[in-house]
Amino acid sequence: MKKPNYISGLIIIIIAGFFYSLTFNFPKLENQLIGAEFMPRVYSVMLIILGSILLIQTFRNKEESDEQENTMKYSIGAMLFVILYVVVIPYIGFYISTFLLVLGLLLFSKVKNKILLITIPVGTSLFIFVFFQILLKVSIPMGTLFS
Amino acid sequence: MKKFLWAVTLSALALTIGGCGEESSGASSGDGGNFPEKSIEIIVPAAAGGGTDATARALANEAEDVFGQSIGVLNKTGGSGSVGMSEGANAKADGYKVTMVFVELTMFKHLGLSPLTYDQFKPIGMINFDPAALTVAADAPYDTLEEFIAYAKDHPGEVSVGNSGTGSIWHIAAASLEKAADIKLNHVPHEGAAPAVTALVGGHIDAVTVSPAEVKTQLEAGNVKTLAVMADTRSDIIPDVPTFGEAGLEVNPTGTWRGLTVPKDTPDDVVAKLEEGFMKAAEDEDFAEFMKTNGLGIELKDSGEFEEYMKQNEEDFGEIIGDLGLN
Amino acid sequence: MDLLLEGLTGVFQLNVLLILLMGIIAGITIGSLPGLTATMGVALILPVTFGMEPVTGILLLIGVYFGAVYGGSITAILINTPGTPSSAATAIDGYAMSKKGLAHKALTVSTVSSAIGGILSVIVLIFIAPQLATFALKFSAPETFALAVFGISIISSIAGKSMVKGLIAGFIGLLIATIGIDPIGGFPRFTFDNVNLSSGINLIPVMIGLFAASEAFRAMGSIFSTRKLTIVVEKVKLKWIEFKILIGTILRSGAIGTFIGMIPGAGGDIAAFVAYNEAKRFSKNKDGFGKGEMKGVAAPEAANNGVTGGAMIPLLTLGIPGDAVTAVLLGALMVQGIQPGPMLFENNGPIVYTLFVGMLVANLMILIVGLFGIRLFTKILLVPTTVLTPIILVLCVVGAYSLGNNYFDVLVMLISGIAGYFLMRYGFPASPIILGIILGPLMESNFRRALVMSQGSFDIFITRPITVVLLILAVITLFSPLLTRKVKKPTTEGES
Repeated sequence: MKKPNYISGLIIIIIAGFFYSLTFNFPKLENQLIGAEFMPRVYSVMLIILGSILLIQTFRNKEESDEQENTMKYSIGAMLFVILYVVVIPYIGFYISTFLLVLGLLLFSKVKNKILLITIPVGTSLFIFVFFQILLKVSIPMGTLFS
Repeated sequence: MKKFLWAVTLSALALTIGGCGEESSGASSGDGGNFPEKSIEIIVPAAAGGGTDATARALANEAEDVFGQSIGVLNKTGGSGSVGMSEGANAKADGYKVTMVFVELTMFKHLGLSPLTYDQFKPIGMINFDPAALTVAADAPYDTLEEFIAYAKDHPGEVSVGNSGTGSIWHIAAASLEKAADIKLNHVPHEGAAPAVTALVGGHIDAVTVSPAEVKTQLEAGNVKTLAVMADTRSDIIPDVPTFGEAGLEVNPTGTWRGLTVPKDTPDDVVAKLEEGFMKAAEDEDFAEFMKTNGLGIELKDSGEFEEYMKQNEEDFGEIIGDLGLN
Repeated sequence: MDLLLEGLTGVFQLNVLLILLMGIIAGITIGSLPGLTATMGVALILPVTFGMEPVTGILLLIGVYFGAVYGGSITAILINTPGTPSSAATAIDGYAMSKKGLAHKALTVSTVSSAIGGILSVIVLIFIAPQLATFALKFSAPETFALAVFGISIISSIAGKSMVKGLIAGFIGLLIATIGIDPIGGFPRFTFDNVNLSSGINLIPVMIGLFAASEAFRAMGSIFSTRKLTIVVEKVKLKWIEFKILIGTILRSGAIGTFIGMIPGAGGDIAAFVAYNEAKRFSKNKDGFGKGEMKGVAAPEAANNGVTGGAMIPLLTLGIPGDAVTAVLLGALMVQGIQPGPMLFENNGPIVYTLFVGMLVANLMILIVGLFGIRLFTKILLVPTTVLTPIILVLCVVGAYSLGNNYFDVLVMLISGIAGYFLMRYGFPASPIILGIILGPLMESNFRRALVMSQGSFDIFITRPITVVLLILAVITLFSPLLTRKVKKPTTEGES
C-alpha cells in the first residue's frame, strides 16, 4: 500500500490547498468574527495536516504487502460503460440506453446464456417504466432524438 | 425469484397508489385555436411536499377539468429554484411547459445566485400571496407595532428577528421594516421558516417575520402574538391582525408569492388561453378550500398585472438587498 | 386508558388494518430503493389520502413513513446499499454479516430491533410527550451545535482500520458540505458559478454513489477474480440467548433515537450513528465492530425507528415539525381538519389515541412483514453478481435522477461512485464522509447562528448546561478510541 498512500496523501493535500486558497476570495463582512471562510479553512487545514501525517506514517512503516488481487481494470471498464451510459441518456433516451448498458455489462462479464441476455435488459427497463414512470411519476428522459 | 419479490411489492404499491394513468403525448404542434391538444406539464422548482408543490398540484387538479387535458407536475429541485426555473424559461415556447415561479425569481440577480430574471418569462398570472407577519412571543413587553418599534429604538441591535435564511424573502421583509421604522435589528437566519418559529416559541429569539400560515398553529395555541402583516389588506387567515399601514407604518407589501409563467416567445393567443383556463381553475371553490386549509392565501393577478408586479418587486428588492450588502 | 381502548377499536377494523399494511409494504419498497426516501414516499402518497377518513389517511402515511425507515436497512445489509441515509450506519456491520453468510440473521436482528425501537418510541410519545416537548424546545443554536460536534466526534469510532484515513474521509465530507450558499452569510462558496452547486451537494446522490455504485464497480471486478468469493446464505436464526444479549443495546438505542428524533433539525441519520457509537462504547468486544457485530446492526436500526415516535412528539404536542417528513405529515393532518398543538388532545382526543394505537400496530406489522419477508429478501443474494450488478447500476442512476428530476444529481452520483471505488480500494472508509456531509451544515450553521444570537460572544457555548455536557461528551468520544489504540499498540503491530 505504499505507493497508493503517497499518491492519495498528495492528492488530498493538493485539493485541500486549492480549497484553502479559494477561501481568500470570500467577502469579509464587517462585525462578523466567524465568517463564510472560517469552517472551510479549518477543514482544509486539517486535511493538509492529516494528509501529511499519512505521508509520514507511510514513509516510516515497513513495506506492507498489497493483498488485494488486481481486478481494477475490469472495474474501470464498468465505470467507462456507466460514464458512456450517463452521457448518451439525454440523446437516445433512458430506455434504449438502459437496454444497451445492461446488455453491454452482461456481455462484458461473459454471460453466454441467451435467455438472460434478453430478459435481464428488457426486464430492467420494464421495471423502471412501471415502477418509476407509471407509479412514482418520475419524468424519465426520453431523449432529444425522439422529441 | 427476484422478479417475484418485485411483483409482490409492486402490486401492493399499485393498490396503494391506485389509478395512475399514463400520460399520453399526442401531436406536438401547438396552435392557439385548439390549444391544448395534449397534456400540459407544470414545472415546480421545489421539492414535493412543500407549499409551492401543494399549490401547483391542487391547481393542476382543478385545471385538468377546465382544459380537458391531463396536467402533470414535475418537481425539479436545485439552486434555490433557479434550476427548475431556468429549464422552464428555456423550454419549447408552445405553452405545454408551464413553470410555477415564486418570489425568489425577482431576487436571484441581486443576490448573485443566477442571472435568471422575470423578463425571460411571459406571465400567465399570479395565484398566491402570503405577506410577512411580524410575530413575537406571547409574553413580550409589546402588544402593538408602535410599542415594538419604540422598544427596538431603546434597544438598538438587541432585538433578534428570525428569518428563513440570509437573502430570503423574510429577511428582506425584516430589513424593510428596519428601514421604514429607522430601527436596528439583529437578523438571525434559520434553515427555513419552521425552525425560526420553533426558536421563537422556545424563547431563543424575539420575533419572526414569516407568513401567517407558518405562525398560525402557535398563534392559536397562545404561544405567540402577531403584531401586523405587511400587506395592503388584512390576511384571511388572521383577520384580527392589522396591516402595517393600519398600525401606522407605511411599508411596501412584502411577502412570498407564486404564479405561473411560460417561456418568453410563447404565442400570445396560447398565453391568453392558459391565462383564462388557470384563472378559472384558481377561482374554483375546491381550490379555495384547499388553499385555506393549508393556510395559503389566494391573490389573483392577470398576466399584465403580474408582470408589472414582478418588475416592481425586482426594483424594490434590488435596493434593499443592496442596503444589506448582500449583492 | 378509556381513550386507548377507544383507539384500539378504531384501529382494529379490517379496512384500517389493510390500508396500514399496504402503507408499510409500500414504505418498505420505497425505503429499500436507493434515492427514494421516506419523505418522498410520504409526499407522493399524500394526495391519495385527501379523499380518505382522517384516521385511515394519516395511518396510511404513517405506515409509509415507518416502513420506509425500516426498508432502508434491507438493501444496506444485503448489498451494502443503504436505501435511506438513516441506514448508512447499518451498512457497516450489516453488510459485513452478509459477507460471512449471516444475512438471514442480520435481517432478523434489524427487523426485531426496528420494531422494538419503534414501539418504545411510541410508548414514550403516549405517556410523556408534553414534558419531553418542553425539553426539546430548550434546544437552540448552541445546543444543536454541540449535538453536531458530538456526532462528528463519532468519526473516530467508525474510522475503520486506519484512524488517519478515517479522519481524512470525515474531513472530506465536512469540506464537501461547505459547497453551496453559506448558511449564515448567504455567500455562494466553491460554486464555480454553477447554479446547481449553489444549493450545495445533495447528500443522497453522494450516498448512492459511495455505497451502491462503488460497490457495484468493485463487484464487476470481482467477477473476474480467480479467487471466487461467493456469498452463501445460511439459515442461521437468531437465538433467544443472543436476543437477550442484544436487548440492552436495542432499548438504549431506541431511547437515543426517540431523544434525537424530538430535537428539531436532527433526524434518523444522526441518531443511527450516535446509537452505533454508544453500542460500541458499551460493548466489551469493541474490535468486533465493523466486522459483522450484531450490536452494530441492532443499534442503528432501533435508533432510526425510535426517531419516528420521537419526531411525533414536537409535531403533535407543539405543532412543530422537526424534519421534512413531519412537515408533510403536518400538512396532511391540517388537510384532515386536525390541528396539532397543545389543544390537540382536548379537541381530537379519540383520533389522537387511535393514531397512537395505529403507530404501535404499524411497528408490529413491520415485525411480521419483516420476519416473513426475510426469506424473500435474501433471495437477492442468490441472483448471480453478473446479473445483479448491472441492475444495481441502473437503479443508482434512476434513483439519483428521481430525487429531483435533476440530471446534475446523476453526475454527482457517478463521480461519487468512481471516487468511492478508489477511496475504498485504498482503505478510506465511506461512512465518515456521509457523516461529515450530514453533520457539517448542522454544526456550522448552528455555531454561527449562536454567535449571531449572542452578538459575537463565545460565552454562549459555556454558560448553557446542555451545551457543555454535549461538548464534553464529544471530547471523550473523539479521544477514547485514540487512547485505547495507543494503549494497545504494542500488541497490534504496524497498524495505526
